[in-house]
Amino acid sequence: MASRSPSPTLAAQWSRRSFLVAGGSSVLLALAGCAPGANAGGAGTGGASGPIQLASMWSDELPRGVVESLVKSYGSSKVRLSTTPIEDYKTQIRSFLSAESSPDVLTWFAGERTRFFVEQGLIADISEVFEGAASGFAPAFKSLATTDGKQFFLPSQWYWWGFWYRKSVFAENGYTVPTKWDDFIGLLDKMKTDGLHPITIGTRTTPWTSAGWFDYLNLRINGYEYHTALTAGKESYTDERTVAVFDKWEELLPYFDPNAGSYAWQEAVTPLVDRSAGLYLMGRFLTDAAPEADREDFDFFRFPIIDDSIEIAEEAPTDGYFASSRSKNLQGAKDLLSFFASVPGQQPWVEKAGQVATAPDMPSDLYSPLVQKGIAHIEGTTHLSQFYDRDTHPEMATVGMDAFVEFMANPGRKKEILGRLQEQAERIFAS
Amino acid sequence: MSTLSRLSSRSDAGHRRTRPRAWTKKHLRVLLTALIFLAVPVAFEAIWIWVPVVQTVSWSFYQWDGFSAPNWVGAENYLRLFDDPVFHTALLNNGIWIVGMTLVPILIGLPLAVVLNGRLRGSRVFASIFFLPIVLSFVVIGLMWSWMYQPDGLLNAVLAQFGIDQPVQWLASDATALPSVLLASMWRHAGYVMLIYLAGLKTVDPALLDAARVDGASPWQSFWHVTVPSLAPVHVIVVVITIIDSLRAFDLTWVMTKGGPYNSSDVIATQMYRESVFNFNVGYGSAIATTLFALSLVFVITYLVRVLRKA
Repeated sequence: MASRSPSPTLAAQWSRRSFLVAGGSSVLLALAGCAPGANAGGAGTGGASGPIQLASMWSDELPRGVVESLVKSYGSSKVRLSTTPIEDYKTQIRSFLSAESSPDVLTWFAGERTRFFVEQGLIADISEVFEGAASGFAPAFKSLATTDGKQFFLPSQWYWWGFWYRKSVFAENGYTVPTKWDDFIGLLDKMKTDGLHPITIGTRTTPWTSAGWFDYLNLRINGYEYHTALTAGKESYTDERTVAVFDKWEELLPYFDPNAGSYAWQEAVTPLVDRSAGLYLMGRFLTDAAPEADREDFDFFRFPIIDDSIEIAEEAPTDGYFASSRSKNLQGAKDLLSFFASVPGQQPWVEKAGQVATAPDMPSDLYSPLVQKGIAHIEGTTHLSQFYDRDTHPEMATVGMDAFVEFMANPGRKKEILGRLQEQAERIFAS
Repeated sequence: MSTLSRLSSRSDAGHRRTRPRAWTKKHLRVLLTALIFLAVPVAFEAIWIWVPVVQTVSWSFYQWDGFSAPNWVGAENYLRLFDDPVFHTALLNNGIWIVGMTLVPILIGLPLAVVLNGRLRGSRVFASIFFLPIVLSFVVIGLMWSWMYQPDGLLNAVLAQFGIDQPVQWLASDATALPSVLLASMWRHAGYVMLIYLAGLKTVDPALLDAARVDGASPWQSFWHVTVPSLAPVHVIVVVITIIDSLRAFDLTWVMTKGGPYNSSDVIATQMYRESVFNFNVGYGSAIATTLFALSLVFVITYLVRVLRKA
């Protein structure tokens, strides 16, 4: 085998370089496609005086409009925005970052997904921003941005998770919001006898919806410390504490909509809207997928407490920005990040997208009553997790979420599935 | 000038045995023209096919996440294929694709072609209708069939008419996901196979069929003993094209199930894509791609040998 490639290092360098070239040209293409005339002044690679290049993953209509309005208020001549559809962005960001003409500022997710790039040296140190514009950020956000005592990520906006329901359905059937596990099971039973599918979810092509269940059950049964140790590969999926999570989950499976596996997450909102399903464990953006006229009727409650001795933890996925370490205008990038840390740099997220800002001085009357409830929901929480696919290794996330879906369809294979999951975890975290 | 003279002398040497006469300027011009014409496709082929192939093969011996320093691991990626259950499923599924895509579309496409080749009124219209799915992109076909497979979709609505009220989870159950995707693919492929046979039927000598009729052969006998054997070269082309198409199956699976639920409908190409693009295992993904390439090559070469021999 070795004789076929006489000089492995040479081959590696050669192939790496070609890969970089390929990556670089794809960035150029992307930029050229989104910003006609971008290269007109020969400033395509962004000299110190050229506009800051901002790569955005917020491609859905609503968030895209938010970013566009932010760019406008910062000064369209100072920033050049290029938006990539979010699922493509997740895979292309690696070539963006390794390209010669890397964008200066990029949107991204907090958690392991950022830490991974920090360890590769691809993200610039922006501690300066945390001494200035972001100095008033809550400690939780600062620690989210920190690796080895330095800050690399600017958290901008976040949302919360909970059980979503229609207020009118609860009122008509006389349901009450449960806080304890037994009340929750009681509610599910009542819904079932009333002819509802108590729980809706959509796992086809969006298996991540199942990870919300895994996260919450693990956080409620074993607590935050154990959960983060497990997602970091330091605890085992075959451990009896992890097995207990799946035992609990198995008890719940009869309450799930039998069509769950055939829906993508947005399609699974329909049963909730047309009142054939009762509850949906989902992030705040659930209401975005519901018809506008029905949105006022939606409310949420906290995932019920299973064990009183466990400190409450909630999922609060946080999105934001970072500066590429290859930026040719790092000062300009930091200036833009400082703007994104300010109230005017976050206000559209609050006003247009119903998200919660990280800027501490955001006027609270800008928040809708629902968002204010979401803020209170998180304020009473000891620990915040990001979400399974942001808290664990990216490959582990794919493998894990597939395993959760398989378990939901075949709870009888629990032991085998968890054994396989642990084998995969050992391989992934060893590499 | 020196290049030209070298070229001419080399070609000269090559031709001396067959044609002793000296090369004229005209011959040189023809040769140059041929080289120029060849250079363009060869360059395109090299840049977009051969360089990536060589690159992929070389990457398959590394562990590499896409940007940090690649790690030479020898044949480890290939050894991992042997105990990767997902790869085994994908390989088996590709096999099922090959069998399904060969049998069903031929059984539908060949009779259709024979019927439409006859003096049927409006046969061109029917041929166009059956060929129509080929015009649609795979993504459109995938979405269309996904909707039919929904729990409250067309298929379950039809079943409900026959008293089957419990909706079948076509794309969500590991028992039906693969056949459901395959069915959509067969539907598309049948029209394609029909078209190839329709073209092939024009080459069947009508004198043979006339002779059979004179000898008192029934329509079935003349189909089975005259038409089918006369189409022998077409069968080979249909089978080889089908096998190659089945091996590179990707689009429909990705649109309809993404290889799910839990990898049960994966094919080699979807696994390769997920590994290299989503899991950032460029090395392992390349090993899968190389394996698929080797498998395809066997059939591609068979096909090319066949075609070139005829040419």
